Amino acid sequence: MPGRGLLVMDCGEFLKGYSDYSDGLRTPEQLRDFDSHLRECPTCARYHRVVRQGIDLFRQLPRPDASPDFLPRLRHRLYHIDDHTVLGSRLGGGAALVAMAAVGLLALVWLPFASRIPVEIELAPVAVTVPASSAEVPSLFSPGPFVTPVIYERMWVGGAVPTIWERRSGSEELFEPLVQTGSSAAENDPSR
Amino acid sequence: MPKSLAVQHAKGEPRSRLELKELNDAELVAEYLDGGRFAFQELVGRYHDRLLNFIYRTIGDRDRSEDLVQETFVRVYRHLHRFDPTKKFSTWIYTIASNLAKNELRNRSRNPMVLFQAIKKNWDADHRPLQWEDRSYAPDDLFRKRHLRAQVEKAVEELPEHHRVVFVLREMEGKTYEEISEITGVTLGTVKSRLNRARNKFAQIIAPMLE
Ligand SMILES: [Zn+2]
Repeated sequence: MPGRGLLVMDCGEFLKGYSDYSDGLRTPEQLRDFDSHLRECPTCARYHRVVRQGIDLFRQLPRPDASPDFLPRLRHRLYHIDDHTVLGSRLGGGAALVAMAAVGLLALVWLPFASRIPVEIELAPVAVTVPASSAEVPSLFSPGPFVTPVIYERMWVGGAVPTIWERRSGSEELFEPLVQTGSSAAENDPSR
Repeated sequence: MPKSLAVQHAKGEPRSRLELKELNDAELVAEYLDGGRFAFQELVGRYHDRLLNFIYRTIGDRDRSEDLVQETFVRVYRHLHRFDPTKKFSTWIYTIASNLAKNELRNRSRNPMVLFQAIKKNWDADHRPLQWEDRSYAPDDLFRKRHLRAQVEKAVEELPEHHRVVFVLREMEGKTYEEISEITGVTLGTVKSRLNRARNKFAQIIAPMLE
């Protein structure tokens, strides 16, 4: 134990407060106590030297480079997020239409059974036209009372598809031109 | 950057890459949320190397680290609109990366096969033939230097996970105690004590090799 009586702090105190000392987080007076302990105590001086050297070596360790396909892969993933977001909201709208159609159909089916009240209503004759074969709708409820060719067309052709493509072209351009590695990150980082 | 540059910019005109480089992180986030597509690219350029290094030093598996950096950016992309602009972007992105790294280590500890593969990969890397990349060093120096680096790397890997994260954030990424506290979600006092213990353990492991 090096000259214990002369020291302001013992080795335990030194080690306990070492990080604060190392990062300069003590008062100037306390820092001086640490300095003087280091001068007097070879054990703690050795400890300090080892930590400093080790950390210097640690900082010199080679930093891994991102693989060449890192950015294309990321771009691809982000592209799918855009795609999913747009499709999700569009499908949400489509699902609402389908739900409305289902409710309408159920109402039509249940109406004769539900209405037990013997009230006779004279209905006006209904004229039905068969849609042309080119305007056929591949609907679950074909021919559906609500999902008409016009709505279908609006859902998938006039609405969703161009929007998706607008968004797609956006996300494809997100990384054009490609990011160069080795950026000026450090100089822009407020923490540095 | 001078605040005036952000203010001067004409609304609706896309910024050039050079202009984007001048913006700080918070301004880039605002620019992206305002429709500036290339702003996100600039954020990726700023952070992908640093995050890769941070996660790699935390989990020790390069390929998996790259996946986790990708995942970090995907999460940032999804949730950027929820980012609190009064906070520091770098702290936020490191928090996401740190949580992913922690989850990875947790999952790995539950899966011995993954652990074995990671150890094997590191062993393979340690036993590659020596490359004479620097001719100014004599083979002895080069060998010693490489050996020391490997030992330092190993010493960091040997630190308990929660000590290692704090150690890497402080010593390699240069984060302040306050930032580390936010990133790891522990108190300032815990950061201090973990860092002190990490340095202590690190010193114990490498001391015999350095002297
Ligand atoms: Zn001492």
